Amino acid sequence: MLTHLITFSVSRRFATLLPVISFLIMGQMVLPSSATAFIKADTAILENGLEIIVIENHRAPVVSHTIWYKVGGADEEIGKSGLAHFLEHLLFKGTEKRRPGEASEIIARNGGEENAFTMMDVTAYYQNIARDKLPLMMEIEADRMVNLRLSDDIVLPERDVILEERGTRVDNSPYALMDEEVQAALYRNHPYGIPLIGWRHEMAALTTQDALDFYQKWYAPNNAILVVAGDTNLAEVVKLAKETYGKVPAKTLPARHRAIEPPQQSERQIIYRHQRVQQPLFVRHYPAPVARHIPAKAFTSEAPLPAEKMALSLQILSKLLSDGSNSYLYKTLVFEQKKMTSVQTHYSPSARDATSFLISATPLPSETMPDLAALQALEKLVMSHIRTYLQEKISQEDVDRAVSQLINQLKYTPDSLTAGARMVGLARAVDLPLSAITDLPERLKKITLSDIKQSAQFVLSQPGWVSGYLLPPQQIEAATTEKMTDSEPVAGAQK
Amino acid sequence: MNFFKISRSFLTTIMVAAALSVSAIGASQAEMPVTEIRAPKTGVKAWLVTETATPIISISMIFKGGANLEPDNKRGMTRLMSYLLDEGAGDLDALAFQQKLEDYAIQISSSAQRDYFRISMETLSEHQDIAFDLLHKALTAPHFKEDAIDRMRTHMLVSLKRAKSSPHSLLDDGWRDQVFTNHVYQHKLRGNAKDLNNITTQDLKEYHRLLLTQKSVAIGITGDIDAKQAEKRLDDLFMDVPAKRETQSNIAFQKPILTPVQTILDHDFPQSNALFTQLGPNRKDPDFFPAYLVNHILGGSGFTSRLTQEVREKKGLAYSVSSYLNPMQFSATWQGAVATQADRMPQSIEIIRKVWADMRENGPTAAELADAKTYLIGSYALGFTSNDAIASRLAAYQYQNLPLSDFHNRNKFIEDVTLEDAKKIARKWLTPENLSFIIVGKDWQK
Repeated sequence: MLTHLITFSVSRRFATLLPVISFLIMGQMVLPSSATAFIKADTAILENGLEIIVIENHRAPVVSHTIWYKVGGADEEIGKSGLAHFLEHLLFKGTEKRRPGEASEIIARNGGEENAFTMMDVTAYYQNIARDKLPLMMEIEADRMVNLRLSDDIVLPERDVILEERGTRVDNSPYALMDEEVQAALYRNHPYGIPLIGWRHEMAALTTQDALDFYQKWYAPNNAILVVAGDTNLAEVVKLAKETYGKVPAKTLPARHRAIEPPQQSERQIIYRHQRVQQPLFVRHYPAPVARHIPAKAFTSEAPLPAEKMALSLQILSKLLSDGSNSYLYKTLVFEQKKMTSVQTHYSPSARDATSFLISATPLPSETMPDLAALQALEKLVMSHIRTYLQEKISQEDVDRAVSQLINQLKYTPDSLTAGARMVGLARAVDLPLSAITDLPERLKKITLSDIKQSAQFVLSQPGWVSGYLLPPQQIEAATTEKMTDSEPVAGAQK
Repeated sequence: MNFFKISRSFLTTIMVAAALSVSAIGASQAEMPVTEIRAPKTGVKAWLVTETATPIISISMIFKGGANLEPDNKRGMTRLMSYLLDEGAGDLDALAFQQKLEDYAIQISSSAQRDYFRISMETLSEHQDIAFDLLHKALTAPHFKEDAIDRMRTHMLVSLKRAKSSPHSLLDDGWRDQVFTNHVYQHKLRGNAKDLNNITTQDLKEYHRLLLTQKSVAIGITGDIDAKQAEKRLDDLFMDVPAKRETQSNIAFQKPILTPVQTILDHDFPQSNALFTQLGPNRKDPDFFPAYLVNHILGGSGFTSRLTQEVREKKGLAYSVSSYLNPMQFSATWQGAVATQADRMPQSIEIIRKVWADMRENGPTAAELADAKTYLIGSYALGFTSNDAIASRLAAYQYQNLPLSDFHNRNKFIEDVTLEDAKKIARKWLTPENLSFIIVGKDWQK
């Protein structure tokens, strides 16, 4: 099926480096390709602790109904990697009231579309459906919040399904395999270093009881956020939610203990070689703070700016560096100097605990396969241009222009049933205030040139980072190049 | 951090990707107020839905005849052209053109396919003068400068390299080589290095004039614009576009070439990918809607199809398995896809053939048919929640030469399919013994 997808999903200049999985949430975050002030979000809280957010949109008689649980891959116990995502699959396997798959049949029969997804910090389930089916969706979702029934005969085949999913997403993709190695190096103590899909050997050992334990621990109304967008309003949603979710009792939730990542002190290189690499590339991840204010010091040294301000500054910085033909790195290195096929930066601030500022590039295609030294030279070149931009080129005009472009993009949000709902849902699920989304245009306008320079300086002068190099096996490299240069140190690219 | 999300299925993405055929397959809300408009000076027609709730205008243009019309030694030129329309046009060089797009949040995108070339534009209505001006430039005066060609050719050369190690690209190539041997559909949209290196500014200019004509275009417009304004925009856009093609192409309809024995393209991937193919009905075949319903029950979207139930839910053999109708301009297939570990592939194939055979012998049940109808009718409305989705459906209907009444009656066509119809077409069309499998992955017979 995927063969036919590829031409649609790859944008030619800026998204060719990384596989689609890394991009799924890009553009839905604090810098969405569509958003608002313009999002009007109404909120309420039920007595059992369920948080409710409603975004009215009356264009069509349909609603998008999503329940977000504040639990994800980073909440798994040691040795149980992949469990959060496995449980997400198992939520479709029936309750005391409904046999496996029955809820899906009911939703389909009523013309609804459904799916679910798991992230490091959250797990979400959604249906898009005619507005008069909203009570039914709430009933189904409230039922499986508390009444899940699992047994080995249905759990074990599904475990094979997630192993196959790992095959599709990771094992068949050299880039995804390298990314696992890079993340494991970047997060040495925090669970973000463990793959969300799970390590294969741990996935294969997950049990029915593991899933039930995780479910009973984390799935509760006081650990969830209900987001409804579409042809409805807060009063109606609250009334319906009381009749369904309102009957599920609150639980005493476990503390969300995650190991804190200490500040990073060393430069690390991951050299990942794979038989199927035809086009080498490099990535470099700098530890970076998230938009959420975190009291404990973690991952980076103490930041010079408030968390949210720094997060917005870094997103604008990333846009100025590599988003669009007029961005600095693209324009100088790809467009004018023709030194590389593509160059990319990426920063996504909506994790709970930590994130990274990513810089990567793909060399020009050539007769000879680029070797490690060639990738490192490319990396050095990109880093020196970032430095030049920050020291000599970046201007107030650049910043104003980027902010204005972002605000224009946000104006498209009401054209989508789900875009605004995804933004607010994710923001709240990682404990950002709702205003982080609803006031976004005003907040963007307040970011100054000095904020961006300080933020960039802070992140790019962290003493520790991880570089990753995706390369073919050495004998192939050797066969097509003159010399082996793997022992050369990383050329300086700092400060 | 790996803050990606992973979701339970790819099926929703498949629906998006299949949008053109599905939307053409489908039809719309009977009540959607579609106006047929005609630009007074050029005579260019379009379907329009005026919708002022959001300050956005979307236009979708499908030009019939895509990569099928590429000269034989210029393979890849259609895709290359789609990358170059915003790389300088009229009085704007590449950077100036892109700067305007970025500053005003205007999106112009183009997509190269075998049967068609699509150009879409979306703008806030406050910026529409600039947006339509940029679109006009792209339609009439793209530069195709040598350095832009080089830049985009480089991208394509990189994707050619990547394709050599991508299971999906290898599978699609292998499938075309087998099913469409010696037909224009055998060619790869990404072209080849020799041809790409051989494409010049002059080639692209000629090809642009060949492909984009007034007579070959189907247009949908949606949003904050009325009929008078839209007609004026169309005249302005198309005034300088050639009326029609000087030369006519002559492409024969080809049935897919099928082999009852599976073909394995031996590659060392941890997971194998397979496509399976048989002949399918084309869009105008009276069997089309019954087949569409039968296919939904067999392997359509969602978690309820028979293939998903048997291959994934009961046996855990695959993360995704699906089937779909694939009507093309010069062929039509009924096909499907599955991905599983190499050593489990034979079992998956056996189950798929069995499910296929059972559907042929017994057809769907009355309950399955009723459920498929309510799903396909109910979920159809979900595709009408954004301007560009509506515009592209409006264009797709006209591209298929379907009348506006078909657009309005789509749900009725679904509703009218009887159980007898469904059983009849299942027996008539499904050929489990001749379902042709092609696999990219380890050869388990070795």
